[in-house]
Amino acid sequence: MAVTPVVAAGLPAVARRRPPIGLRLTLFVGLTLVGLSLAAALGAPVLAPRNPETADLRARLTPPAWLAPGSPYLLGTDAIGRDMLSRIIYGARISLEVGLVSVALSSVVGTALGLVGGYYGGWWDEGMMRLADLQLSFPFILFALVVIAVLGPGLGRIIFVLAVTQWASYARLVRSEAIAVKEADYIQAARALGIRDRRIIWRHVLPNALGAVMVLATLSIANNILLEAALTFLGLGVDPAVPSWGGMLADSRNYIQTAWWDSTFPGLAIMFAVMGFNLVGDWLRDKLSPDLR
Amino acid sequence: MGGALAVLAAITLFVAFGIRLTGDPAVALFEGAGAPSMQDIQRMHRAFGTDRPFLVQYVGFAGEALRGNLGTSFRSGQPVSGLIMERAGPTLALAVGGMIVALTVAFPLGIYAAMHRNALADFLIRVASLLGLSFPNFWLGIMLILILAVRLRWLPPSGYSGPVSLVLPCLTLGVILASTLVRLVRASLLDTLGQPYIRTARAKGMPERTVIVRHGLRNALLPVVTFIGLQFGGLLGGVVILENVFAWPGLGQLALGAVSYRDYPVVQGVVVVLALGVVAVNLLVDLRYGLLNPRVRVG
Amino acid sequence: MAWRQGRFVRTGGVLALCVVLGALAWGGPVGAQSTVQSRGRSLVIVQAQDPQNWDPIATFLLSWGMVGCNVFDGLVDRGPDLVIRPGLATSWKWISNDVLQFKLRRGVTFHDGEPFNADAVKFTFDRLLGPEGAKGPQQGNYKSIDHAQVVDPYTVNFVMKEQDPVIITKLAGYGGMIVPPKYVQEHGSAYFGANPVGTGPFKFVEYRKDDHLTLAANANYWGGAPKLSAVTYRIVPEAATRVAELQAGRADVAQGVPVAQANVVKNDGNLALLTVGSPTVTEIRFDPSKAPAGDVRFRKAVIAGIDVQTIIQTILGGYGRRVSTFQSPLSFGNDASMKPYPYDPTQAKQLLAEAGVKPGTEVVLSFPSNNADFREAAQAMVSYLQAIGLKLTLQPVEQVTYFSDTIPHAKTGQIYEFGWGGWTLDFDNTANLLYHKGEFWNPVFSDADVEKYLTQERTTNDQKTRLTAFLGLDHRLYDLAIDFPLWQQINLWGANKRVQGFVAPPDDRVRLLAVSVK
Repeated sequence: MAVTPVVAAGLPAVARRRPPIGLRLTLFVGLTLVGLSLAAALGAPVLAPRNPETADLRARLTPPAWLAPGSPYLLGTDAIGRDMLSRIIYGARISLEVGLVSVALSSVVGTALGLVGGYYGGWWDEGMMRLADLQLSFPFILFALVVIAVLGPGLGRIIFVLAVTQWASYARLVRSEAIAVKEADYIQAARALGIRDRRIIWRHVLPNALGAVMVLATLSIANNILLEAALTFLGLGVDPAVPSWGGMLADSRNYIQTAWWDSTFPGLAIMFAVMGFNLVGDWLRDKLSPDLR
Repeated sequence: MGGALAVLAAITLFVAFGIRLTGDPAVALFEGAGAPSMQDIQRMHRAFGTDRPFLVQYVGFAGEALRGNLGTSFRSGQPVSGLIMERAGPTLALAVGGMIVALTVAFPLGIYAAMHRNALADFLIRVASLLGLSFPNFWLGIMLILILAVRLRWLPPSGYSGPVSLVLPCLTLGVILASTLVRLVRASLLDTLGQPYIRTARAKGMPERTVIVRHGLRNALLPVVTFIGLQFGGLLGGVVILENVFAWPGLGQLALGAVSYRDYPVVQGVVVVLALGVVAVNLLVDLRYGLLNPRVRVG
Repeated sequence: MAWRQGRFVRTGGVLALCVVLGALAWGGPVGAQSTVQSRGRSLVIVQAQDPQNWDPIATFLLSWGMVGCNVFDGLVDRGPDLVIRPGLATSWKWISNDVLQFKLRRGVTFHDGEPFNADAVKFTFDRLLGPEGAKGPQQGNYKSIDHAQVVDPYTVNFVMKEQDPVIITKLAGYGGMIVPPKYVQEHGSAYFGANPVGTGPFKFVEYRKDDHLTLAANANYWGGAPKLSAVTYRIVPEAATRVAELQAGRADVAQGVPVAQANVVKNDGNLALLTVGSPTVTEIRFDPSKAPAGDVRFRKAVIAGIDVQTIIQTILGGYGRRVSTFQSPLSFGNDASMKPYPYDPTQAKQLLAEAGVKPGTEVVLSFPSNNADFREAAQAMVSYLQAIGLKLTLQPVEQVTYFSDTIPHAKTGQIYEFGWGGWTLDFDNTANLLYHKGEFWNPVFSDADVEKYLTQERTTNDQKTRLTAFLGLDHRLYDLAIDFPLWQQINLWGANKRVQGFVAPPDDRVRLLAVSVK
C-alpha cells in the first residue's frame, strides 16, 4: 500500500509500529465496557447484592448511599423501594438479549438478501426491494401494536418485532453498496477474468459492504435497547417487575425532578453499553475495511 | 408503478386485517366509563359498517381509496383525508427541521473525524456522537424541556404555536439523528477514501482537500443519502413519541390516537399516506444514485 | 463540476421551501404561548386528551366534560358537590308512573342566537335516540326513555319505556346536553362536532385537533356573565410535560398531575395542588375458572397477603382511600360499616397451605398498561406475594385490547385489574355490569344469591328495598371474595396561584363561570 489515509490526512509519514492513540483507546474502552455489561448479564445472580424484585415500600426513592449515610443501598432505591444496583445488574440480561439477538437476526438476513439482490439484480432484486419498501413504509409502532396485541406481550415477541422491522434497512444499505462495487473497474476486470460470482461476492462485495453494516448493526444494538424503552413508554412493554434498562428509564420519567438517580443510573448503564458495542464495532470496521488490507 | 400498487395493497390489507384483531372501536369509545351492553356494541357496529364481513369492508375501502376517498373517522365523524391534511404540515416541519439540525452537526464532525482517523479528536467525536444514542427520545425531550423551558425559560415547553416552538422538538430529533449520521458520514468517507481511484487521484498529486471534496465526499454521499431516505420513512412513522411529549398536532399523534381508539378508517388512511410517502422518497433516493454516482445506471 | 453545486443549491432550495411551507401552514393561537402577565383575564388549561369530537352524543371521555360543561347545559345539572339542581329546566315532576314532566327556563338563547325551547329539547332527544345517536356511545345510557313530547313551548314530557331509578342523574350526563336544532340541521353533525354551539357560559371560538380549543365568555349567559374573558384548553398528553407547562407559567390549570409529581407542584411557590376524591374505584378481580383462583381460600390468601394501606400511603402518596366493596363511599349501596380484610401474611400462608397451593406457584396479574399508578402498585404486589410464596408475573396489556378482548374473552391471568367510574353514584350500574352472569365484562363469574339481589334491586323504584338488596349483595360478594377492592382514586390538579375560585371537580367537569384570575 503506497499511501495510507493517515499520511494523506497530513500526519507524519513515519511507519508506525503501534496503532494510533484513537484506535488503541477505541479497543481498550470498547472492550472494557462490553466486558462489564456481559459480566453483569452473565454473573447477575452472583454480583447483585439483592433480589431485584424484592421491594421495601418504606425505603422507596432512597438516595444513593453517599447522600444517605447509613443506607444499605449503594445506588439508592426506585419508586417501589427496590435496590437500583441489583436491578441494573440484572437489567443487563434483558437489555443485551433484546439488543443482540434482534440485531443478529436482522443483520444476517438483511445482508444476505441485499448482497444477492444487489449483485444479481433481476426479478429477485425487484421483488425483494418491494418487500423492503413494504417493511420500511410500515410504521414500526403500528406493527408492534398489531403483533403484540395478537400474540400477547413477551420478550420474544418484542425481539421478533424488532428483527422483522429492521432487516430491510440492512438489505437496502448492502444492496446499494453491492451495486456500486459491482460497477467498479476492478470487479469488472475480475469478472472478465472469469472469477466466479460467489468468490467475487465473498472476497470483494461483502468486505466492502461490511463497514457500513457493522456501523448500522452496532448502532442498532443501542437503538433496539432504546426501542424497548419506547414500547414501554407506549404501554407495549413486558412485565415491569422484571428489570430492563429501557423499562426502568421509561418508568422513571415522572421522577426526573424529584429522584434523579432513578433515571440517571439506568441511563448511564445504557450509555456505557451503547458506547462499548459501538467502539468495538468501530475497531472491527477498521480491521475489516478493504483499505487497510 | 404496478409494484408500488402491490405494496400498497399488501400493506393496507395487513393493517386493515391486523387492526381488527386487536380490539373493538365500539368498546374503545366507552372508555371504561360507560357501560357497553351487547346491544350497544352491535348497534355501533351497524352504524360503523363493521358488522359486515372483513373482505367486504376491505374491498369497499380499497375501491373508495382508489377514487381518493379515505372514508370517515369513527371518532370525530370527519373525513379522513382532511384529518391527514391538517396534520401533514406540523409533522413535515418537525421532520425537516430535525434533519436540518442533524445534517448541520453531522457533516462537519463526520468529515473532520474521517480526516483525522484514529487520532484523539476522532475518538472523542465518536464517543460524543454516541451520547445522542444513549437516551430514549422521550427522555431526552423531557430533559430538554426541564432545562431549556422550565429552568431557563428560554423556550416554550410544548405546543405548536409559532417558529419558536419548533426549536425544542427539532433539537431533540436532530441530536438523535445526528449521532447516527456522524458515524455514517465518517464511515462511508473512509470507505471511499480507500478506493483505487482515490489513490490514483492522490498519486496524481491532487491536493487532499480537493480529493476529499470532489471524489471522496461525492461518493460517500451514496450511503448517506440512502440512510436519509430510509430515515425519512421511519421518521414520519417514528415521530410518534416526540409528538406525544411535545404536544405536537402531527401525523404521529393522529395515528396514535386512531390506533388507541381503533378508528379503523383513520389508521388505514394514515398507513396509505405514509406508505405513499416512503415509496416516493425511496424512488427519489434510487434516482439520486444515478446523479451522485454517474457509474450507477438506474434501469 | 458546476452542475453538482447547482444540485446542492437546488436541494437546499427544496428544504428551505419546505420550511417556508411549514411556516405558512401555521395556524397557532395567539394566547396559548403567552406568559402569565400577558394573558390578562384569559385562562389556559392543559389536559391530557382530545375527544376529537365535541358533539355531546359522541363520547364518554372525561376530557369532553371538562370543556363541554362550559359550552352546553342540560335540563338538570350536577355540580362539584354532586347535588342535582335545575339547569335549563326550572322544575320537574313525575305526572304519572312513566311520564316525567319538565318546565323549561325562559329567555335562554343558544350562542348562535337560536331560542331555547321545548322544540330544542325534543330535537336533542330525537337525535340522541335516533340513527345519529346510534353512531356514538351515549345512546345506550338513555334507552329507558321512549321519546320526548312537546306540551307547550316551555313544557316537555319524557315518556319512559322502562323503570330507571337514576334517570334524573343521567339527564345531567353528556348525552342529555341540549343542542341547537337549526344550527345542527343546517351544518350537519360533522361540522357541529368540530364547531360546537350550546347555551353555556362560554362560546366556541376555534379548534385545532390535538392542539387547542378556545372559548370566549358568553356575556348573555342566563346564569350571569363569566369573570374570565376567554379560556384556551391545550391538549398535552404527556403528564411530565403538563407539569412543565405549569411550572413555566404557560398554563394556569393542569389536569391529571401524576402522584409522582405532586410534590413538584406543591413545593413551587407559584402553584397550588388541589385534590378531589373521584368516583373511580380500582380493584383486582379473580377469574374463578383459572386454578387456583376457584378456591376461596386462595382468593382470601392473596387479599390477606397484600398490604394495600401501605401501597396507598407510599405509591399513591396517600392520595387514595381504601374501599371494602367495589364502589366509592359516595355510592348509593355502599355499606360504611364494612371493613376491608386486614393485611395478615401469616394467615395468608396458612390459607395457601390449607388450599394445597404449593410454594412457588405462578400467578398472572393482567392489567391495562396505561394505568401508571397501578403499574407501580402491581410491582409492589410482586414483592408482597413473593413473601407468602407465590410467584406473581405481571402482564400489561394495551388498554383497548384489554377491555374489548382480554376481559370479555376471559384471556386474563388468574387475577386482573379493573377500574370503574360509577359516575351515577349508584351501585346499580356497576353491580349489574360486573356480577350479572353473561355481561360483556363478566364472562365467567355467576352466583345464585348475587342474581337474586340484583333482580330485587332492579325491579323497584323504592329506594329502601333497593338499599336492603344492595347491602345483602355487598356482604355476599365480601364473603365470596370474588374481587379484591383496593382504593378510591383521588385526582390531583395543579393550578397557578393567580387563579381564584377554582374547585377541583370529582367528575373532571371544570366549571369556569365563577373562576377569575388575579
